Amino acid sequence: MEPRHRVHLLSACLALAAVLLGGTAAHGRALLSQKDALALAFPGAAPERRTAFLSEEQAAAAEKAARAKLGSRVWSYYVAGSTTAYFESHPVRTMDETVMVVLRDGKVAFVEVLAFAEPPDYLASPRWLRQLEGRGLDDELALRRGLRGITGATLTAEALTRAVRRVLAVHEVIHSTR
Amino acid sequence: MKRTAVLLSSLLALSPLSAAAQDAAKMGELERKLDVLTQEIEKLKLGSSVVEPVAEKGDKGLAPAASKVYRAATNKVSIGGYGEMTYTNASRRKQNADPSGSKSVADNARAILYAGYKFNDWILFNSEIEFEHGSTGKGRGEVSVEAAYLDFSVSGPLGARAGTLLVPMGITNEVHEPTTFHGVKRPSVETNIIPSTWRENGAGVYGSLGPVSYRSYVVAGLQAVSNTGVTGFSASSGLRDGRSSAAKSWAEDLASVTRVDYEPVPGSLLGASVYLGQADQDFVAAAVPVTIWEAHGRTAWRGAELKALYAEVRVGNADRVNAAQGVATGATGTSSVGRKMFGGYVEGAYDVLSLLADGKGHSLSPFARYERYDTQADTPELWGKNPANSRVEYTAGLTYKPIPQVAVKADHQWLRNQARTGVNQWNLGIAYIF
Repeated sequence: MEPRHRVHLLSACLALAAVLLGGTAAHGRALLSQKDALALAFPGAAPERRTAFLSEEQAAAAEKAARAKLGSRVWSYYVAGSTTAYFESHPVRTMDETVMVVLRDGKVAFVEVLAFAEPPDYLASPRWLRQLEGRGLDDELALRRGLRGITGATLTAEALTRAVRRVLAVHEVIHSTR
Repeated sequence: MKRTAVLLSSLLALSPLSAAAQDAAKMGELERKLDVLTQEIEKLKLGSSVVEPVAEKGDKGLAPAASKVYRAATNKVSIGGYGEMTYTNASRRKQNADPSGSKSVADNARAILYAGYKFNDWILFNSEIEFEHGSTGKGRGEVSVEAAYLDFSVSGPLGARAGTLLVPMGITNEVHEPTTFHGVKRPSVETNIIPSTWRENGAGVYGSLGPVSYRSYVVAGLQAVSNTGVTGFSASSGLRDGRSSAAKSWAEDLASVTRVDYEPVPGSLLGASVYLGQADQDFVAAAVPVTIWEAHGRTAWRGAELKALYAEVRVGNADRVNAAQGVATGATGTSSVGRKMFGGYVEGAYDVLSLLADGKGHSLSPFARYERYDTQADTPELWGKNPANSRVEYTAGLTYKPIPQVAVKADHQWLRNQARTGVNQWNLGIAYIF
């Protein structure tokens, strides 16, 4: 092996070692649990936990509005003032993602990813998630319409869009009959 | 006295006031049970690691939003896959109207299984096992480990990978699932200039910071000349047959490859990569430096998609490679390895179903692609060029996706070259990913 190739190899080994050492120190990172997520959604407030038990008719109406299957007729959510937070889990490719969708006055305030079991390459960036802010349940809340895709992770973008549509549709159904 | 007390308590128990209190108690107990049940349902839906996470040591000091929960307690094994089946009908005539001699082919081109394992929230193993062309039994197919690496996801800006890695060049090499590109066949530029699918053993770092992401690996070098199962560089396929495919790759020569991408808005990407390495692997009596650089971009807006790529290759001491490969010189010597190669393409597509308010999740995208490439843009002195290696290709077709994970494709390809020996073809394909 020529000297310059040894330099290649040595630099690769050093980089790997540095990352692994860094990893050992940092691997116990803070977790974004449901509790932490709620603290983000309701800073300084104690939200009330409520549960909606949708009738078959309500579920059908929500699925029609969402253009997606609900998966459940039992929806727990958290409320304080005009802010409501929903938690939703869905498969991306074969593994699940869990998100918190925070609504304010019926529109998306922000979306936070709590858990993502697919490889990290497919995770939606915070910049992509920001596209959802201020959106309501309309025809523009769709990929190739009002939303841009995620380069190299179309399935994540599709799954997240469906999740947000589901939450908005359930929210509408719950609050139209209260 | 005792009898009187029993009588009084019996009367109280029968009174309406006492019944209401009992009902209230029962309601309270029912509400408590219902609350417990809904909490249990929520835990089942979201996963106990989200609802009741177990804190690890040293988890203080970072804002909650600075990191994500990767479920460690459940779903450790990940299985996925993709595949494509194709039919190619080649024209009976060449570009110059001579008989082509080409036959139609129906191929189970790829059936791939992904298997991954998440050891904890920052170390995972990922692999891609590929079955190509249906069977190895007829000498036409192969089974390969397309990728198999350990991934150390330390933080957003810094991670590391080691193992069999996909070389991070171009648009298609790393993201080559057939549902992600238009056309039954991959772009020829990303087959003959960037030799996709190109994987190699190595290690490196990756990460992202805001709109910028990078990957930088050191990998085993290419193999310029024929030896131990690798046939080496060639006039028509460029570097393609110099890949060792991670199969006991000679590592006497290494290479570095670095890629940087910038995403100005979600869905749009501008990037470039550079590969620097040697490819003699001690089989040539001279160094064979190989340099590849490419620039790429893609964007999407509503139903429209546009992508483009340009790549250039330089091979040093190509004359020594030719000599080692026994390539004849003189008037008949047109099989020289190119010491310069280049290629580029531009592709546009439009999902016409995006015009509908509710396309029911379907997409139907007519597309067109133009490619220009030459694997012998320049050859060493004493060797001539084969004009058949200077190629222009036009592809036009349709991609229909009833759901994002399934694609049905059809296209026609006009394959031209300067020797006028190109053979047009039309292709059909189905593709899936899960």
